[in-house]
Amino acid sequence: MNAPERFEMFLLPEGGRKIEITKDPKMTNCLLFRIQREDHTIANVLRYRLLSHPQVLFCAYRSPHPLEYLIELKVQTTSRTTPIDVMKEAIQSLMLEYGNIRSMFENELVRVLPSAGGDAAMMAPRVPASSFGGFGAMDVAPSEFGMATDIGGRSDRPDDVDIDF
Amino acid sequence: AQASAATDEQQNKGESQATSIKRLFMFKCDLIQIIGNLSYKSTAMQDLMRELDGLSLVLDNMRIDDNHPFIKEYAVVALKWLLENNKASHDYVRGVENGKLTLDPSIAASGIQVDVDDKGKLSLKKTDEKEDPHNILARTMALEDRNRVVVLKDRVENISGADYPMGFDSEDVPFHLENFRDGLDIKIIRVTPTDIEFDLIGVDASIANALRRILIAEIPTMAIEKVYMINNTGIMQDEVLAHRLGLIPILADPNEFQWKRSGDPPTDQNTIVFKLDVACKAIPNVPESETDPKKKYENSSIYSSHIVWEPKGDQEIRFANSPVRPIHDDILVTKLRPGQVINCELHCEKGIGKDHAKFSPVATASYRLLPDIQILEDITGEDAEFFRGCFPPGVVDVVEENGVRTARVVNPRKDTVSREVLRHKQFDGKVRLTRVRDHFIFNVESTGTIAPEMLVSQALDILIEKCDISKAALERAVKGSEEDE
Repeated sequence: MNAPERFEMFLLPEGGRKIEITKDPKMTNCLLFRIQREDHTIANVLRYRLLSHPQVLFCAYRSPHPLEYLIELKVQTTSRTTPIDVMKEAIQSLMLEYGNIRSMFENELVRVLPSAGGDAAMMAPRVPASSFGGFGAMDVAPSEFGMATDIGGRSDRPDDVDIDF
Repeated sequence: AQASAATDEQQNKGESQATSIKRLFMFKCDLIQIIGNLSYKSTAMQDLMRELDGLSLVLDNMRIDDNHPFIKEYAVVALKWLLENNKASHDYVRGVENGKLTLDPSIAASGIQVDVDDKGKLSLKKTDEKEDPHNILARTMALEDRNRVVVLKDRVENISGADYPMGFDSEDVPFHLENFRDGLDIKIIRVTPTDIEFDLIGVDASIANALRRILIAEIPTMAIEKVYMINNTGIMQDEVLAHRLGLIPILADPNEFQWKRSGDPPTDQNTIVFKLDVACKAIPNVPESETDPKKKYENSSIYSSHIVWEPKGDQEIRFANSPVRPIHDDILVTKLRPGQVINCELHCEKGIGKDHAKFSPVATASYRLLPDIQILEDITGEDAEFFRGCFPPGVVDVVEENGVRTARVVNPRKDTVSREVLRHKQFDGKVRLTRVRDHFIFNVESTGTIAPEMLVSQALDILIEKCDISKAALERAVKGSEEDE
């Protein structure tokens, strides 16, 4: 009866902001990031990466309520840097890490399955007709990772992306 | 000669008048001062000082002495005058610098080794006593143990290993992409049309878990979403039938289709239309004694093969090579009897597993950690045979070593870690079941819509995209707050 719709788990409402940043009143150099429509998948990985950063003093996340689809990530750093910079670095290094895993996987695949290259072409045809942006002007640009745009159809996956942050 | 005589005199005085501390206070500083002053700009005095061992006396006093405050500073000044323009004295002091250490015997007793390197820097080390092989084994295992999750009879230990990720003991191991790249490894063990087994080594659990979660919940597929019931006179209720139809996996490339929002009209770009139009009839001329409904009636069991694709718009051209159909033909949907009819139109839409499990492209995606069975003490003879029986076949083998049959771990990968060994007292303390913390054995089983290797690639892409979204959102949030200010 009170349960929210399932699509609320990943669709951001109109005008909703993806990330809200608030300063922690009690600790210095500490910010609280409230990320909407995300769950442990991204939160745990971000937390792990932030904790490996030498300038981070404190980093933890929680999901305040299972029926409210957001996560709170609290980051405190030394005075040499700011939580926002550290966060940007963490996200960047995460993208690089996953990009690295992906390219290693592709190489391994080519080694094991010589026809893997052909499969890729078949499974992800770049049919231009299907990807007209009827869903709003979200320019998906994981541009550093050529791989991401190679798998076609990425641009027509705007459910949690078609929003004005 | 004067100076040393003066020193001796003072020392004698000091000994005979031990109680008058006030006079002793700072007397050494005065002596040092005298020595320095006497040597000021006098080469003869400097040489005399050196010969009478005055240099080492001054050097000895380069320290903090509560009874003689600032004696170090006095000694430094005195040394300056003693060495000024006197090469011989310079050489003497230089020779002293790299001298041998005299160690108090108690230092060696406590097991510490003191070393002096070329620059005169002291370093302390724990001495390596002669260790017997058992200790060495224990020590190397202790080092590797940081990387092991220990499986005990009633619990699991050392799960997180450190207070924070990638930290061991008190070492700080900040993340560097180069180091990571060296440690990271991916090995694909087996690829079949339906599943893939691969190893992901050298990553943290959170990364492997994120990959698993994405595989299960966030890769889009096509599945029947809307069922328009025209006629259903069968025994199964409309909604139950619709539910079952939704769970049928559909072979259609989700990348070819667009997302359909709740207000959007169905188009050939975002919807696939199927028709299910069946009626059950009695087969004429069947003997009365026949009981098998399949023989008596036509269409008594409705299978997924009865679902017919109706191409709309340009779908016929787009999917000329790979027509859209349910992956399996033999999924039993419902049963009918003569006179009962099902007539419905099925609309297929794009969705992700988070929305409904029918959209999940994997039968399952899971990982386990590589087991590591450590034999602490050799297990021999009959015990070895019994030991082998405690594990799945192929894990442990009994080999002849020096004429004794001992058990050796051959292929820990096959082990299911059932902990059968820990149940038997005879192996107490001889075996240790552990798992390697950063070695993930993934097993991804696809339902058939997407090839399993493509699933993993797509999952990694989606993860990268998630990070990208967060990054963009972060920038906007920062810009927004800056504008507010």
